[in-house]
Amino acid sequence: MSTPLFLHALSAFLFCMGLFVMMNRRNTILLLMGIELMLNGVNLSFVTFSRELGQLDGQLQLFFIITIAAAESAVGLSILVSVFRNFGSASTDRLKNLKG
Amino acid sequence: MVDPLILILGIIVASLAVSMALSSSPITSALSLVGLMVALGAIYGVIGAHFVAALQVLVYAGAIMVLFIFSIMLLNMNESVPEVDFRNAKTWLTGALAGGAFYALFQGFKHFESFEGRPSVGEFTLERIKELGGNLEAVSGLLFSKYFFQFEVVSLLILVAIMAALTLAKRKVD
Repeated sequence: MSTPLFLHALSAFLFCMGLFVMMNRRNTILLLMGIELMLNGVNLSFVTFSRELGQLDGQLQLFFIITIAAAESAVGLSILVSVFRNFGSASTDRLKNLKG
Repeated sequence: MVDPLILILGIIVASLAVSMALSSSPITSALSLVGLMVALGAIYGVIGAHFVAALQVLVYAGAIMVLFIFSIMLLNMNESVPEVDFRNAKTWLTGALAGGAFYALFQGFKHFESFEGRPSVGEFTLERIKELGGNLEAVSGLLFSKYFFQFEVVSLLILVAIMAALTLAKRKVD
């Protein structure tokens, strides 16, 4: 197995671990962390492709992804704070106000 | 052959990802994620993406994850959350789905290694980057020429995100 393929396999593993967290855990903060894990998997893939193909665009893309991830987690965590304030818990089981 | 340093760092990253996904306390998950991001930053440094390595450690491990840990502590959320229940059929189903996704992605990447439509190696080889004065110079040269408009748009996005976070998290005035 070559080094780029190993890094691609690692990035696929991180993405699928994030997917597993998103589908299994019931806590809002863990869901947000699952999203971060998936983003990190994609980032690793971008950097490996950029290195492998001799283009810097992948690394610049990562610059924008990190900025957007920071904005996303700031908004997500403030939603989490107001959920916690209104329901007294961060569990997604409590969030069924819209359920018929 | 896989570079031994990258192999060790990769094993650290993978085991921290597993510990993050399976731990029962949110703070353990968050700290595993911090370690994972630092190890990923080390991998970026080893493969020559120095600017991205610094960003990964400063912004991801330093800012985003500290925000996570801060809100876990602020909300006193340290009671343990339900663990992943391996006796539940749903866990096995989602695990199989994630495993299937991993297999498909891995086969895709493996196929790309010997893909005939694979693009040829571009302008920025290691020698060219060295000529330009290093990874940081090469990346910032592109950032402030080809990607300047996107750079400005992203700064606007951050401004909007700050306002959204303030509006969402402030207490209602009676």
